[in-house]
Amino acid sequence: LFQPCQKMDCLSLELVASLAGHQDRVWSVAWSPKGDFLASCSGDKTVRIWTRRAGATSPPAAAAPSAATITGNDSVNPTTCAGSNTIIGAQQQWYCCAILDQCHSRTIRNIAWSPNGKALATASFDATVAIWELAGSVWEQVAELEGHENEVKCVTWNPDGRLIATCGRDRSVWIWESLPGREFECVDVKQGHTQDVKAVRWHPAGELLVSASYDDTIKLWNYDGDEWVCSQTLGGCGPGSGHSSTVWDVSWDPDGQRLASCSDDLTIKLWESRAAGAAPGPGRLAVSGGSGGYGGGGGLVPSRPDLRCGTTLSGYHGRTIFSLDWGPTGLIASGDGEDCICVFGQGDPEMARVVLRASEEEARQGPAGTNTSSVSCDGGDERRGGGGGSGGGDTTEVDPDDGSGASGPDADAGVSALRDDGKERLGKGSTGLRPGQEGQPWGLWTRVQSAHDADVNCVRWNPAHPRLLASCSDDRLVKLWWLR
Amino acid sequence: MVAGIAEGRELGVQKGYEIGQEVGFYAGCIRTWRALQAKEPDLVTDRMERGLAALEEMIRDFPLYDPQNESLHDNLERLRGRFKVVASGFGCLQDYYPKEAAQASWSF
Repeated sequence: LFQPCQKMDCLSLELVASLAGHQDRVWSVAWSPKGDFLASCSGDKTVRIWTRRAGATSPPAAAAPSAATITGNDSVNPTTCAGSNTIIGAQQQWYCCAILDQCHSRTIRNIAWSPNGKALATASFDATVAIWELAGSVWEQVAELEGHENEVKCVTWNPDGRLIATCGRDRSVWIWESLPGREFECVDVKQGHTQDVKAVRWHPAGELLVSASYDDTIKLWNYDGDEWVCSQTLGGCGPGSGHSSTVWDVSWDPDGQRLASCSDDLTIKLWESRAAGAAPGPGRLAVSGGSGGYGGGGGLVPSRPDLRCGTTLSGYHGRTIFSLDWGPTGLIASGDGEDCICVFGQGDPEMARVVLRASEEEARQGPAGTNTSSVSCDGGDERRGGGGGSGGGDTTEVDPDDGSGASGPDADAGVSALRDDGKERLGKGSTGLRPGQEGQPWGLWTRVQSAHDADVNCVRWNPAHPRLLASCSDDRLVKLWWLR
Repeated sequence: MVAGIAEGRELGVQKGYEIGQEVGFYAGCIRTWRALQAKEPDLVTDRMERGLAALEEMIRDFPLYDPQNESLHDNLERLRGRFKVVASGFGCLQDYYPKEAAQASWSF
């Protein structure tokens, strides 16, 4: 039944931390914009914020992997990872640094960080959304958004932090504007879906909102100056046009050109602009050099979406796919009802492994003395000039635990030499580690069976450390994985 | 066949009544808000004014007496959505349909 993993032993997801504390199923996880904090929310009506101890490096583990010791709020000793790789071997001391509670009267289903990392929004089954801000070292609730008739399923900030979108079981999508003085005003309410709306996500350029629903469709919304209108509906018009069951999650690729969706119909679909299909070269996305914006050169124009299904990944999941995330590396992670986590990539996983190894080498051999050895609570990952990408990219993959503090232009040069084309990437924030090869067919690169002891509800790649993946589950745990 | 027509009429009457009731409710709310605005003009922000005006227009143009109108349901949905925006602005969200009791129902 299942399509096999191509070259299964090339890549793997290594468990680096198992975080316990929630008293009920964990529904969602969200990384802070700088990747230094992870927020998780649960049926226990709380949000927990996790971070890594500053300066936490320890010698690589020499022994075989041992079972993780799980304690409550205390620092967790994660599974030790055997092997000689310095980056992976260092133990990662994650702990719960904050608990947000006493707010919602029911399950908290979803959380989202504001783009500046200073605020959190929580969406609850109690039909409200709460906005929290960090005052000193304490999170306090500063606003409440009421309006949904019943359970709110998802909340998300747009890229400039002005707007929040929410959706819920009442079949509507709400758009709120953030005003001075922590005021929020409802801008629009979109009915259109005929069933429960499971997820909403903004396009990285911000002008486009995507919603996914129990009614099997995906809708795209744009602002026409007066109100938000549905500019495209994907699926729902009979067989062959889209998903044939509930769409649970959607995610944009790092360039904002393609959309991935996952569904109860056991498939992942990748949607791309019709204009991109017309570009020269088989399966290539139209790429324009150095414009640094979205929508140049025949790709997707966010204000006028024209998506069609380009690829369907089927045969890899045996149960509902509840979550997916298209990470900064161009790889897609998914979590399903069979307790598995999968990672999909384009092209040859052997080549990808070479790319990842090269990046690890560069990181190890880089100039000493440039310090990135600690993750402070202010968000300590350093930003270096991106190597082979277009103007906007400024995040390089750096693991604070490696102590050597390298990467940057050298690593990027190494990486881009291994890409099958040296073309500049369209879009912002899209440089850095790209183990896959664009234009090549998609395949399953690794699968962790029994990643959790129950349904995997959410998977999310870290925005600053793109090989770090967070997952959460009905088994009440949050787990962190490293792609190697 | 005869039974089908009878059932159809019954359903039609019921649905028609529901739609009329909903649109009428919105119209009543707007009338009330306008009356309040007349006494206290500061109550209504620019955005809410735009919303009220849009609602009034939508109700005026609503095909209440044209049940075969293709856009009837789309119009109703737009109306419903816009009403919620304005009601939210006034801070008095009265759902037309009564809120379900907040029991611990299963939801995903």
